[in-house]
Amino acid sequence: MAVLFGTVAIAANITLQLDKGTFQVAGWNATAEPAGGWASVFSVYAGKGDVPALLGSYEVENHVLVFHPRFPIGAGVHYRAVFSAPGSNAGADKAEAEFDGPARATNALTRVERIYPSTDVFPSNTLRFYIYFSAPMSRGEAYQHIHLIDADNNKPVDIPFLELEQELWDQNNQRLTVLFDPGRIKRGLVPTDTIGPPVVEGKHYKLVVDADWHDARGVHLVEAFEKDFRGSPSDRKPAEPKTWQVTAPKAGSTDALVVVFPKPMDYVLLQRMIGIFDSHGEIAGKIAVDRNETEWRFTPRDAWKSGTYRITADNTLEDIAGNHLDRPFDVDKFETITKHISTDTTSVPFSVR
Amino acid sequence: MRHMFFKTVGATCLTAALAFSASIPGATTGKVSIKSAGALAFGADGVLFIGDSVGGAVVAVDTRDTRASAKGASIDIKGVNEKAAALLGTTPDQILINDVKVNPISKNVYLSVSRGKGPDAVPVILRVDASGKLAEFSLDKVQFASAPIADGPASNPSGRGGDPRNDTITEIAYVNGNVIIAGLSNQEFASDLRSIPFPFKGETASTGIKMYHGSHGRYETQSPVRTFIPYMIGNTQYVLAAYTCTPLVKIPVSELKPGAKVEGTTIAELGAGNRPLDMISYKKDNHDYLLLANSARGVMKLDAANLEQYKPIVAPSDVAGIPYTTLTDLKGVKHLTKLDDGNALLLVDNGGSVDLRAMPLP
Repeated sequence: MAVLFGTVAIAANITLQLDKGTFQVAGWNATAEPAGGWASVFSVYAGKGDVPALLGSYEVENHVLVFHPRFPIGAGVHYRAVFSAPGSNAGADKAEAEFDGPARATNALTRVERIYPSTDVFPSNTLRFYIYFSAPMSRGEAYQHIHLIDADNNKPVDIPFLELEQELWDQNNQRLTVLFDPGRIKRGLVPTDTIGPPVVEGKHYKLVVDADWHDARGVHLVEAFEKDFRGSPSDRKPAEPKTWQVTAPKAGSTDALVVVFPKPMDYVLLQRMIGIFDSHGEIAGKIAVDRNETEWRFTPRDAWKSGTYRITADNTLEDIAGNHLDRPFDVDKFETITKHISTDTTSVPFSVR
Repeated sequence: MRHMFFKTVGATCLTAALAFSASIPGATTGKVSIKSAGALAFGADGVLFIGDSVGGAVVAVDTRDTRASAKGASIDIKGVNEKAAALLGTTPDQILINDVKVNPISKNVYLSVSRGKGPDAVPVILRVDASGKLAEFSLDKVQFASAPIADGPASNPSGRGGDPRNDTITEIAYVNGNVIIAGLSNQEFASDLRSIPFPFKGETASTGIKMYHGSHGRYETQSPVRTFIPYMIGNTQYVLAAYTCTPLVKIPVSELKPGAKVEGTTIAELGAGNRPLDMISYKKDNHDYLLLANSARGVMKLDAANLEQYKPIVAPSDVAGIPYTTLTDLKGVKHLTKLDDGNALLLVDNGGSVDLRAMPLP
């Protein structure tokens, strides 16, 4: 942290100092705490106008009154320290000083790295997308900076997303989950019937992320990001494992097992909802997802042995329109397309020779 | 809600008369370590529930704030985000006010706040007392107990897992000895509602309740609940809930059992592009109302008299459902909670500057 000295007002021999993150009253002999507490003689303010005093605690070190702020000195914060000795009138025993915290960062470093689904064809009932950033971002302003533009007329689509006050970030604020408004996707609801889905089959769109979105340092992005896509018919078919193409590797190799899906699946769920098991249990290896999330590859840590394995997937694995493996996003109870499977997982066997 | 309130007051008087016993049986005393402070709710005896989405838990804290007051302060704090920033030594743009709730006993106001907006943001609970003064409610030395809401990181020999799913807590309420928690995941859509008996027992994350939304008796989705309130209809305890896909539904609390599949009954469709943010129920001139803060349609006042008489909405053309009016003069309302029997408390964003103010119930 920079050493932070601003204007220091001096009254008699009393000086107020900011040193190593603490505010001190130098030149005044602090003895017994006054009846009104140390705050009655010395307070620090970190804002303009009628604001409460900065949170912190007091300590007397070698007769010097020291104020330890509860939080570290903040970037871009302007501080005003006010001292008035007990029983003092205007004049000699009063002092006031102003200090500035370190300057805020201004150099843009963070970018949008990628958006999933990576395909450029979105079913009109696409449920969500993920935005990956190169560094942690600020919460609380996401929906001001994400726009869906109808590229055919260059106009923004009105409220296409589920704007949640509690933004859906990962632990490190580097990946944001954005849901299209489920009320406009699900069949039979007023929003779907009156304004229709946010993405319309056959139309062209731009998903735009503004450059003025702040990262966790409070600095805007290096540049805006755009992703072009086209709307396709809605997809309400479960992504059943019986439609997957499995290419088994050779025994003795560490070649990847390759699973090809008939349509793009949810990128994030593909990382954790499919496992490879032998008769002893789950085997260790690395997962890779490719070809617009239609290909899932598993490279084992140890070479494959001859025998039977199984691919086991959670039935809650979703495609990009929120259809599970065993049920569509919204089940039409009048025209049930699929039987409900009562298990939590579905397995596909394969042999290694 | 009103029934809950009376129960709460009754229980408090009893506790106060009997002993100064702990409000949270089995609680730990010390510093509460939370990673975030989001949704808040009050239980009985001044117990504050704090939703810690990042830490994957709900924490119950004994506030010891149990001096009864019938009326809330006449709160009108302009720039409450600027005041919070000054208190916490940062700039107003680094303050997020995540929720506002009123202790139904003391009528003191509690705010969950983030100091900072990045992954290293510090959670803080602030309190506004009867004089309208904003101060920290310190979590350094309190009685508390916590309940995990997320399953711990899976021990997975394969190394798969990607990153763990985060369940964001969107609403908490205390109903008849249970803490009911609504959440939304940053991964799969079908998040569970959870009902955890309080006092909390054990460390295991509770089994969720699978929430379904049936639209017009035909299309059924596993659908997260976004916000809800406890509500008595006749002699039955319900929650009135809004799904992420908008409709307002009623669900009997007796159905909220771990592992259950529950489908709410639609009682109002609130219109396209609209998201309910907060709800309160109240009585005025002996008539029951609901007040609903919405993202797009301002604040709605709904007639909640004889809620049992409205037949479920089963077709898009149905005009049945609760009649409502929109209070057009209220703009930018981010949070709405009940201050006392005659007043609501609003957190209003005026384009950067955030005000906290009381408003007579309409």
